[in-house]
Amino acid sequence: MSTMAIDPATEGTINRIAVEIGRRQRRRWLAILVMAAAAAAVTAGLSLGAVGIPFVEVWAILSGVHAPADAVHAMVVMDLRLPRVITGLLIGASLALSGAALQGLMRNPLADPGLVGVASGAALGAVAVIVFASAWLAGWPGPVQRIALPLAAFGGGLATTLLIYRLAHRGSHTDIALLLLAGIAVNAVAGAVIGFAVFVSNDQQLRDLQFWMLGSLSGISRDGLLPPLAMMAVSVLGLWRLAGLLNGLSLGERDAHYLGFDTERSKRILVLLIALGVGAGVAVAGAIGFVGLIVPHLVRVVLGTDHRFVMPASALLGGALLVCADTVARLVVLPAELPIGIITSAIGGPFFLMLLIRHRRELAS
Amino acid sequence: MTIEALDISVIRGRTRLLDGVSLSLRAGELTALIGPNGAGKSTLMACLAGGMTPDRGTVRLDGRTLAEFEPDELARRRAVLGQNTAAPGALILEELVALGRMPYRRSSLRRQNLSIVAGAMEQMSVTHLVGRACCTLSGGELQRGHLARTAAQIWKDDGGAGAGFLFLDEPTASLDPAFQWHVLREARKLADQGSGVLLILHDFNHAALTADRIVLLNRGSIVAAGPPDQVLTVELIAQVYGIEMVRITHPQTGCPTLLPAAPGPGQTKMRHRETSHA
Amino acid sequence: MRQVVVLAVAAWVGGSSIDAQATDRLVTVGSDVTEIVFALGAGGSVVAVDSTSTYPPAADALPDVGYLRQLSAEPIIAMAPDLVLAGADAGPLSVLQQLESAGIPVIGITREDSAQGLDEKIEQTGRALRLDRQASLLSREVGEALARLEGKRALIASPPRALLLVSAGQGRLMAAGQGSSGDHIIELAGGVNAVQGFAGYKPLSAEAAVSAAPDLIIVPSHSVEAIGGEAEIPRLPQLAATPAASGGHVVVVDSLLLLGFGPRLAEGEEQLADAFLTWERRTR
Repeated sequence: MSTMAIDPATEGTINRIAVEIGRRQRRRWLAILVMAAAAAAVTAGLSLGAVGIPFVEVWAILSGVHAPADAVHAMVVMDLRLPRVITGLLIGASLALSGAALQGLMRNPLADPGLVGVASGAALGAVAVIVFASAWLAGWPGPVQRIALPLAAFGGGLATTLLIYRLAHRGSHTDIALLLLAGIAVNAVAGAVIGFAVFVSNDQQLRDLQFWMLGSLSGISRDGLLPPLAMMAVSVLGLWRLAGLLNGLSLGERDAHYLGFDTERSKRILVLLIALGVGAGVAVAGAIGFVGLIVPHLVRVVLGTDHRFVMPASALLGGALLVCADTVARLVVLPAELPIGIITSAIGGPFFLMLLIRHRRELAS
Repeated sequence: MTIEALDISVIRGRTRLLDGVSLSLRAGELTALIGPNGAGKSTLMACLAGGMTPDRGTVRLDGRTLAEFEPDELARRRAVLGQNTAAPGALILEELVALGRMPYRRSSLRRQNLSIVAGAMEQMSVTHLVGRACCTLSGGELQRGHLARTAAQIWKDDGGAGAGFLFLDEPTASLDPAFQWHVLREARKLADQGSGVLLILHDFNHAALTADRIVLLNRGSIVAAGPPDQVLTVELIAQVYGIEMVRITHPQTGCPTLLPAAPGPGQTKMRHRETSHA
Repeated sequence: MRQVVVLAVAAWVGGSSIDAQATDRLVTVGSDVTEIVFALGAGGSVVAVDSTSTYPPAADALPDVGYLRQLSAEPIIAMAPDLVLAGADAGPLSVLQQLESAGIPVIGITREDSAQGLDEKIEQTGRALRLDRQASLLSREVGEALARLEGKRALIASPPRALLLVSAGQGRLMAAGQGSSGDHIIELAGGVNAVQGFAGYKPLSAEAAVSAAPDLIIVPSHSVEAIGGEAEIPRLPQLAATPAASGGHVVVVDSLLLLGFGPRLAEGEEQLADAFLTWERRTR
């Protein structure tokens, strides 16, 4: 076999392309911008709320050098706001990445954990445990009880993901109309069953259907938070690592296989990670809608389609968005709070409509 | 390097898409696979490329069955361009080509991958399209982008094109004649540089002018395989396709060339027959 | 499960400091608790209430810390209360615990929907606010009113079968079953719950309504509008075939008087007993 010699002119072109590709891939300023947004959101989330605590004091409390006189402020920052901000960041990140991953898996820009029913499925799993298994679980030690809820939500999310994937997947592509219709069906069933469960149950935690269908970060306390946070962290890191696979899947499953991906195995891992992240998030804060739709879209508009950049940027932006939305939810009707899902849906609904209009032709075919 | 299919069959329901096919592909050789619609060409290609496991028989690459290869190990030895391969509209052309380097993402240096991507784009004449999104490209431009992607996938580590196997399913579809010949020339060049190339083609003369060997497939079986002048006979074409052809010799290359036969005695143009019927 | 929650609140309330200093910044959660606090004359020290506390008007005008079942800690902490009085439905439990750990004592007021339960609520509230004297006065007042109610109830010769309906939104009607607060309300006024065989609130079908055969239909005022107005109630298809609908015996009662089992319970029950008597006069 002979090696093709590269003449100097070709060499020049190669360098030009290499420089061009390199330039587009090195978007450091954007990375810095997204990180700044996340940092700003965290700062706002920690320093704003019904209790007025001066900015300086918040940082003093965080660094552990606050005056002992203000134990209440320390408690508000460390026990109320900090867990909320951390949980918000992780839920936002895992919802955004799950959205990006679902869109890649389904090869469909309108897939969102909420719209296609993954989140409702997870909520259904969580509610089922509270209603039907709480008596049985009471006999188990605390840690088992604490992980049962996120695990059940994970199971519900997993079952739904598999169901809609089977339903809407045809050969190498996913039917966009079938996908959304399957989502409507799953959401309707979940809504009915959750409604029924709420209705037959006297449990306080269940009383409000709104919590499961709209989501809220208001009840978060440090207690039992670790298992779901760990599950979301696994999901976020795992989905990030699968960025290459998602790039390959953009050509279709058959071609991803020809590009050297074990598509069947990777798809199973992908589905597991999506359900894990969404399930854990729902168990903590109910079904918060539209984050998985809005964030990857915004990121793609700016960064293009390469998942190696889309994934980390979506994680950061998703976290920032959710922490911001939560901060707004805490501030608009002072001193009371809005469910965070109202805020994300208020942004997400019109955004979704805009996307539908843009994809109108595709949907009609 | 060889890919060898031994007595492979693919059965779907009661239909035998492939029925006991044996075929071997060698490095440095360009094979054209021809046959009528539904003959099983794409199925045979998928089996040889490891995209489909035959229900009976085995496919071996250098003595190992394809199932023994890790997917990315196999991907470094062969690249496939199917029919109607999609590309997300927002994908930038060089990103599409760079996907061909996915199997090397753990071993290869980034800079080296970039220059291979650029070299493959150079070879398929798409360097002027750097920075363009796939949805803004014409069908032919996109097809050449995909070709560059597959070429990049089996690019040799030392910087030259032409290693491994390349499977192209109707690569000339949606291209104008100039680019059809361009693609065929590049495929030929890759074979000359040492790649094993399998092309599914519909045009007999494309096959005759490019291929070392032509395989004629009909109803899941190989009807004939060999050099162009042995396969492209008027009798075989009439038997398989049910059409009448006239064979002449290409004045420059001496290759067999097939032309459609005149429709019938006393009528020199098809147009006449149509009007006389009307 | 609800009992578990109530017990948990009670258990941990037991350990909390009831011997706090006199309270002058109070947050009340639950309409009944708010009403009792105002009836005890401590309304002036209430700085915020939950969204269900709309009586008296002075309470309605106070800052709102959210829905009683979906409280969050920070809005309450922001009001800097030195005591939170939480009705039995207040939650989630984790938020109440967060308030405790912020150094805000939370006192849970138990709830049992009966005359005795009301007495207990008043007593607990009085103790929490160190207004025991006022509490026993209020208890006596309430007791006298309930005794008047007793007298009225004795006049009812044959207890009417009553059906209490609440609206659950989108035209859905729910009937009060055994053990629900609606059930207790009917019994206290000297009636009999027409619906038998299920607990809590359940949707009412036309068939169930016919087999219940209510003589009277009771609708709390907050549900009337959702159903379409008082005049519409006998015309509802589910109810059309019942004796109550054909006789036009529909009673609208003030929700806040009755459903919360607050200090104005007897007042509401008397209105209801009057309605029962009217029904008796009209049907005999």
